[in-house]
Amino acid sequence: MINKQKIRKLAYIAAQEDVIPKDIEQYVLNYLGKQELKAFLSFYKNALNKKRVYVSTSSGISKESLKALKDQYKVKEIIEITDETLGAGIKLREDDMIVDFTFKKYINDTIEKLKN
Amino acid sequence: MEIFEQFGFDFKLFAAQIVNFLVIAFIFKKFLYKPILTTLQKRNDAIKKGLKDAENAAKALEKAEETRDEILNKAGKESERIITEAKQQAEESREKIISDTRAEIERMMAQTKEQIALERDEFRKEARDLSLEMSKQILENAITGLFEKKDQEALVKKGIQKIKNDKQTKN
Repeated sequence: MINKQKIRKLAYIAAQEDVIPKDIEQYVLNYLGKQELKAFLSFYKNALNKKRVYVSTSSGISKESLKALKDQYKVKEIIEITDETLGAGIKLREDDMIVDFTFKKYINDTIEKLKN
Repeated sequence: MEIFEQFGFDFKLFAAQIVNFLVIAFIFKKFLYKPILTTLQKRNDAIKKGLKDAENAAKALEKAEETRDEILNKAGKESERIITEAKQQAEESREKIISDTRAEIERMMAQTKEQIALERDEFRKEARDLSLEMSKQILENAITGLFEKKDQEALVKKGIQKIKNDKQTKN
């Protein structure tokens, strides 16, 4: 049995690389039980979210804008997501914080205001 | 005296007859007159008593009739009073029931109106929300491909600038 603290540390180390290192992968698959594996994945996802910034736009992001974002989030990896339903604008998720400047959000906010 | 003798009057016989008469009168008085008198007196008393009783009975009857009339009179008045009171109470009850029923109907009507108004508002809100939700769906479908590339880029840049400003404000 491995305690949660060690699982968290292992997940943090694994998240530092682009892909999970082979030795960690082997260890996790061979020695962790179902619950421990679940905990590992949860910690791994959190660790990835901490080092990544997810940027959603409706039609991709230009190099210029990407550079501006990289300057903004120097140490973090920027993951681009294309979602046509956003209409226009940009949505950014950093860890558990979401900044939404999309047309879809504008429409939703306007509709909610009208409802109330 | 001779004259008496001429008519055959005998003093001795006369005296004996007087004595006989007296004896018989005494016997009559002693043994017949008193019991007859007592019987008569008793009968007289009985008749008097009977008459008195009849008189008393007549008086009692008269009194009973008076009492009966009085009772009937009283009963009539009492029954009239009871009937009047009952009528009055019934009238009051009827008026109260009508008044209460009217109040209840008015209350129910007010409640129903209120309920209808609430349901109407609720329905309006639901209809409005539904139309807004449909509008949202339509808009969300319509915005795909609505903006030109340059407009999209301009909005992205604007968004990045806002994010930058927000971060600077936080720091």
